[in-house]
Amino acid sequence: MKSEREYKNIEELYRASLGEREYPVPDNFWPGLAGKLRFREFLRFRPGSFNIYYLAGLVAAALTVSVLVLKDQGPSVDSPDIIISTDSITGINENIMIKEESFETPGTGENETPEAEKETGETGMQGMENYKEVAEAVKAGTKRNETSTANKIDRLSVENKFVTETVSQPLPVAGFTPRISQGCAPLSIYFENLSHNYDSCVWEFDDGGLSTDENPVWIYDEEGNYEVRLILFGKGGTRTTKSGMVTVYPRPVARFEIREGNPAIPEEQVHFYNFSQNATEWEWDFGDGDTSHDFEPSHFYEKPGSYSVTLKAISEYGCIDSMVLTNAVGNNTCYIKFPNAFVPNKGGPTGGYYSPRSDQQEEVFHPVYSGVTSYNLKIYSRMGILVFESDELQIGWDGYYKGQMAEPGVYIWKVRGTFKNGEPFVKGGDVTLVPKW
Amino acid sequence: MISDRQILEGCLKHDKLSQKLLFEKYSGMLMGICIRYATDIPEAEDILQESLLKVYINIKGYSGEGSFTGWMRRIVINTAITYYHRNLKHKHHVKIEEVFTGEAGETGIPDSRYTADELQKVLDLLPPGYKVIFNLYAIEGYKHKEIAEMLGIDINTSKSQYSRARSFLRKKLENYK
Repeated sequence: MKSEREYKNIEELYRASLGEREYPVPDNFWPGLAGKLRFREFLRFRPGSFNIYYLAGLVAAALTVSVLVLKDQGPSVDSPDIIISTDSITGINENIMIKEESFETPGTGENETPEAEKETGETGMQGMENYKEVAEAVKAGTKRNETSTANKIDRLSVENKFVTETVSQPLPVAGFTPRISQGCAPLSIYFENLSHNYDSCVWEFDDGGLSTDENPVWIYDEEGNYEVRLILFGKGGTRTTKSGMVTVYPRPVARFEIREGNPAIPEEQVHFYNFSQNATEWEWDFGDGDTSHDFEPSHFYEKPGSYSVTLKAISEYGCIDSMVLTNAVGNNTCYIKFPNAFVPNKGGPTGGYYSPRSDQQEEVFHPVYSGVTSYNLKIYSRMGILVFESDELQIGWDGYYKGQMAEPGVYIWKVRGTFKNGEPFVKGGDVTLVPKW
Repeated sequence: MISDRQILEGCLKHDKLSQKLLFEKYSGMLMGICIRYATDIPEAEDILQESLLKVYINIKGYSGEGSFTGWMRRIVINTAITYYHRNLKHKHHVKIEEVFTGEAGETGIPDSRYTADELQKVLDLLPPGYKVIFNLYAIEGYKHKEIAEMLGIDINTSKSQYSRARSFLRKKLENYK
């Protein structure tokens, strides 16, 4: 497993690609759904919103019920009943026909054969018949005929029976690989039968499953220790068993979610919820080159963009499960947001350059955004004087006007521009310039 | 940004805006599940609609413990199973015996050669019953015992059908390119 890290099993491949895949819903879906929802909500009786419509509904229901009850009291010569009864008659006829057939087919005067089979089963080979029956049931009925003729021959020489079985028939020799195997659930094992001198075989997998294949593939999906048994049936009812051990480790499940649906990056920290099971170690890959081994990490993305997050859950036995959220963070949404206050630096104009990390003190008035292609920000004083204007997203207002700190108080801002999806935006609001003491 | 909690509280009061927000936020994710189970897109949309109605109507049933999306996923999966059972009455069973020739070496499948669309296409080739079992076991992570209960089938049926579905997919993927 570990040497083939670039190879995935089919479960992992599908879970990673389709497990969290989103699929677009048509635009006209919501109106239809909302309509149905209104209707169902209306139908649901809620005492809090008992109204005239409910009352009318109740009256209507009561009326229809009374009408139906009156109808039912009339004489009931129901045609559906008759149809049902004819059906059951034809059904019986079919059964009879089948029975007749089954009398005819094995009608070679061998009615005692099943009993004879039972007798041989009871004379020593305990439980063997069960396996034989399983094997036979799976294989075709032709097999059954063969054994019955074999039994006929056996019955002809009753005295010699045990001698022939134990001495003259070669015993089956049982063997198979792998004899000992272990791995993570779901563990798929290919058992190779190396036995010889046998007619048929049954595999018992110890989890309730059986197989009569020569070389079966079995999947263990639940953890535990299992004793695999290969039972061989040789000529004349001889039987040999060989067993092996399988240890299946529990499978971890990697599951996580982002705490707030769509955090604004790089401005906001992204928190993760971990819903993984059966794991003792976690490996997070945030998609920006950063990793973490915490149970529920928080992460700060440095640059805007779209990131896929991967969580690998590792169990104490080294079993691995992973989950990928493609474009989990900073995905297609376009937005622009502004704060409602800022605290300019007293030291003098800074030019308004900011980066998400450098401006922890909120010294510059600037937007939080994603997917913005063009932009124009204007800030007016309450007197209507334009105190700041910028066409560059990376430059915010440092709170200075003509080299002087602007008056503390409320300012009006207005922004217009377009998102990368082509949609224009125009927004406005006010911001309070808070003096630093 | 409106949080899950606000949306939940709004939906509890049957607030129309919150209901719409919930739809906008999660319908894509839930539709992704429906697509995996349904036989075609119209059926997937039917399953999605039915599931969302259940979510809105039964939102009180969400205990607040565990993940909210997990709770919704479960509803969608249950609805998809109901649809599958309903379809059983109209469509007959298809078997894929011819593919099950037993696989010797358990080699992995080279990853990243397949896009999600391609994987979905190959998955759609499976007969409905096999597809449901594969989805439940491989993607959702249920155990065969749970799947047997959910679908009302024998545990060994679930195992053998899964095993067949798996080798079927493997073969089809190998032949895909």
